[in-house]
Amino acid sequence: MTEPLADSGLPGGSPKARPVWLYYTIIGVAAIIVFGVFASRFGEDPRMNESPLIGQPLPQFTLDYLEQDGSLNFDELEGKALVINFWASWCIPCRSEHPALNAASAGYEDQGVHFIGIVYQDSRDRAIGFLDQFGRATNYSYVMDSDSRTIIELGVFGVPETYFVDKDGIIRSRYQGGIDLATLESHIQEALTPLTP
Amino acid sequence: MSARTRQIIGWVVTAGLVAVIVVGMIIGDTRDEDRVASLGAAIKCPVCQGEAIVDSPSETAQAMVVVLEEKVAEGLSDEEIFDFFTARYGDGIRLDPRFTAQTLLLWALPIVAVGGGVWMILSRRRRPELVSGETT
Amino acid sequence: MTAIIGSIAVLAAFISAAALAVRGFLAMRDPSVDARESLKWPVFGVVAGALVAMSVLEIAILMDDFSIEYIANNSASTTPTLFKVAAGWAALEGSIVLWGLVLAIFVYTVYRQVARREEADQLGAGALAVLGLITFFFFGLMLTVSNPFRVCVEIANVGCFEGSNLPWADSISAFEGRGPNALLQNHILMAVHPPMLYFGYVGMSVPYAFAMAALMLGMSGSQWLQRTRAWTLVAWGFLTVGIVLGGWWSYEVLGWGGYWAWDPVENASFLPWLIATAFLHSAVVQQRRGMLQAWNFVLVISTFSLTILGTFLTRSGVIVSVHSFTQSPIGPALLWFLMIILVASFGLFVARIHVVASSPRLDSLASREGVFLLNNLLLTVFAIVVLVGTLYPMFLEAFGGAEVGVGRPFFDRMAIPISIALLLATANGPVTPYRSAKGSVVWERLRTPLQLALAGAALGVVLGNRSPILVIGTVAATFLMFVILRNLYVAARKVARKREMALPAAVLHVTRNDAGYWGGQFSHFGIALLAFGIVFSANLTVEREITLVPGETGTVAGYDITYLEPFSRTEPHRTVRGAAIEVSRGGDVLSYEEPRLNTYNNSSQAVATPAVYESLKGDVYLSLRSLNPDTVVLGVFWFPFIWLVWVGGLIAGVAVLWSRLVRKPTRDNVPVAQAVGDER
Repeated sequence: MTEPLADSGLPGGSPKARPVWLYYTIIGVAAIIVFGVFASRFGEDPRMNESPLIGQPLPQFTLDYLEQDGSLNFDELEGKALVINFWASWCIPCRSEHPALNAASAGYEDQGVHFIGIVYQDSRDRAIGFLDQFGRATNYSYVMDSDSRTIIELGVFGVPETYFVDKDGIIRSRYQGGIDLATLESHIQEALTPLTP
Repeated sequence: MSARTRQIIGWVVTAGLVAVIVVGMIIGDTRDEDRVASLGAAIKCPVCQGEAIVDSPSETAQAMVVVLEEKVAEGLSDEEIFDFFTARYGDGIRLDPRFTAQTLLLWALPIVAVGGGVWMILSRRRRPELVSGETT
Repeated sequence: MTAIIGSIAVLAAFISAAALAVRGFLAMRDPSVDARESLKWPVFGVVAGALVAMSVLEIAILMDDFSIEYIANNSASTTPTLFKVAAGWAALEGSIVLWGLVLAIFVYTVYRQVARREEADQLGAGALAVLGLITFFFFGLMLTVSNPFRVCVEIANVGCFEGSNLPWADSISAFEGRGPNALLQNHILMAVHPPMLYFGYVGMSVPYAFAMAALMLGMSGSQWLQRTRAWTLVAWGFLTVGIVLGGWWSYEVLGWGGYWAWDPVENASFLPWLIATAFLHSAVVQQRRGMLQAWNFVLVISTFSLTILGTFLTRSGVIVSVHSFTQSPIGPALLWFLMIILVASFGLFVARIHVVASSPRLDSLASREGVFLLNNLLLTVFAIVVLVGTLYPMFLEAFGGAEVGVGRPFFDRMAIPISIALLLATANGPVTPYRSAKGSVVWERLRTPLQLALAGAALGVVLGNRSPILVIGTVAATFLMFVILRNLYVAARKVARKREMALPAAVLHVTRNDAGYWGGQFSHFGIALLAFGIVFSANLTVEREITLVPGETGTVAGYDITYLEPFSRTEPHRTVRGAAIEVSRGGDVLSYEEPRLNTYNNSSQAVATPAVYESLKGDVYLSLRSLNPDTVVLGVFWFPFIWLVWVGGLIAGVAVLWSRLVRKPTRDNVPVAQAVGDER
């Protein structure tokens, strides 16, 4: 009885014909691909993503004012570019970005940009307290999203988040996290640039 | 009782029980289907770390469940409801991937693995021409 | 001072590990070198360094030494003692210290085996060398990117703001520590689950090390397999216990009522478990029939690689998970290590492929070998599904930028048919003879258990439980349980007759005589209980959200939930607000429960902790959804027989550990299976 040649059963046939170099290549290529994919994610927050609403018109919603009666009337804002910032009193990065937002709201008023600050999952009193402490701006509408409908409509992942809408009502970009003045201004500039038809 | 009779009775009893079970499963569950629960289990809570909206106590998740309930009550189809959320949050908000060109590999790789495994096992069998003349 | 002693200990272990690797390789290549002597001091250095490092860390935590950055940021003076001890591994740097300690313990046990041998042990020396390299890496992490003894040089209001890797730097003590993560100081299991899991994870380094040494020496055959069987079994047992405890902890602490969400980090622990289970079974095939040598190498390399992959995913921040540690520079180091392991191990395997040959072939697929192959196929496919599902979103995004979500529904859908097939295969295995089996023989052994299982399911169907998964799952699980019980009964009865013993005594005799085999059978029984528990708790759950005012009662699944009053109390490390609830049934008060919100000092977010009333019939699970001044909103769940999940899972792990303790010592522990069905 003759036993067959030692054969591990792996593809390629008998030992002499087995293409060992092929296996080495597969191992090497696989390692490079895996390394590349994992390494590309270093330093990135896996929760940031691109909003699918970019390029879409801003949905209509009704939002009550934080400190006055009545709700924000979007008809009055027609023809203006919008910076919509979601914030909360308990949100730490919101405090650091607040001065930048206030400054920009003053600086861009004459270019037809209006700012809307939407309070996210917070109590009215604490939100007002935040504004008392960190300051209010003109050219700024402060409203509340009491039932979290608006954040669902806009696909908000957390606070702070800022949306930039152009004069035709199209959402142009979204920034997740605390924003600084330079980034804020570049997004506003982009929103003020008309889309090529 | 001979061994053969026992065997036949065994098969008959087994077949009978299987029949009862199959008929019962066909007649169906006495409980109602809960669309909100099953759809909600396939939508991710955006402010949590991987939980479904029906599992998360967070305000955002609970608000999304309310929206989901409204959509179900309106009679929208499953895909329409998923589209509502993916249009706002992106495809990553779904926990159950659809079968599209992009997810082809996701579904194909396990099938390839099964096929490859079966082939490898079958190729380990003793080849017939070597068996002749041997005592097993 | 603490930092200096700790750093010296880590450095000592680091240098000793290097010496272990170098001397181990020398002893492996030259049989005239006395490994017992040349490796003694390196091993001692590794063990001593690891022990001192862990001890110093724990003592410093218990003494509230906030001049150490890790302690200032992960412990507090108000933290209860048990959670202070657990803080030693609750965050990134500490968890690496624990890893190093467990690794050192395994190095020591391997050394003891090597030292006990009379003749030169090249294989053992090589294994110690490989372990030395792994230990070198982990202690290297502790010296650089993951330093638990970083001293605090700038303090924040609470905790430490900035640290320095130099242990002699001028350190400042923070005023108070931040305390552990809110979720990690809620439950006693936090102290138990990580060490158990680490013994499992790290233990898999040992068979890997032996396999690498065998490849380097060009040794084929089963020597490396036989020698490592003990470690593989022990590591597997601990890994099983660790995973089950993790699920139980999740259930008790997270409040969503579940215990397994296919979270990426849960998957990271499950993947090595699946491949290790496949390895355990195919190792038996190799030892009995000499087959599957090359496949066993692939499995053991994969198991170890998956443990490193899991560590990487948990600690690098590339995946969002409930379990992730925060992002840190340890990511790139672990990724490099993983790549080197993969390329070097598989490369070496390919280089030696002509040596690791298996000549014997399968006589027939209808044999125990065939069932084991099926087991391996199912487990490997399961692992591939879980691996692909976990990594797919990442890979898709890297290549196309598109997003896709892969979560529970996907994994559940794939896991269910595979698991049922596994249960059925597990039942068939022990009753199928080796080499080639006759159908009638096997059927005779399976008939009664199958009929009993079907009868039970039919009864359930008649009573109204008709969900297909519930029925099929119940059939498969109870079938497996009855097959094992029948096997035990048949074996015991034979011994009882032959030796004129009573049946219970015969059972003890049989199991202790062949503890390796029966440990496996009891482990399978545990898995069947686990499956039973999963099927029941998943399909017969009742869930309702109820809103109550004080004094009001709501009813869920026949249990009366009465809201007594809200309560609030202050403990040293947290403020607790919750609802006092009375659970009763049929007028009898069963339990007083306090689902609550814990707000820890130094954390603004409240963490909801559920309250669970446990009974043999099932659990009433209360999750506080919101606590308002006048009402309370509760999520109430009824989980029938969910204790089967914990008990079954623990039995599966403990049975294997029991078999190691009880076994009759044989040379190199070759399994001597007198299994039912072996007679033919």
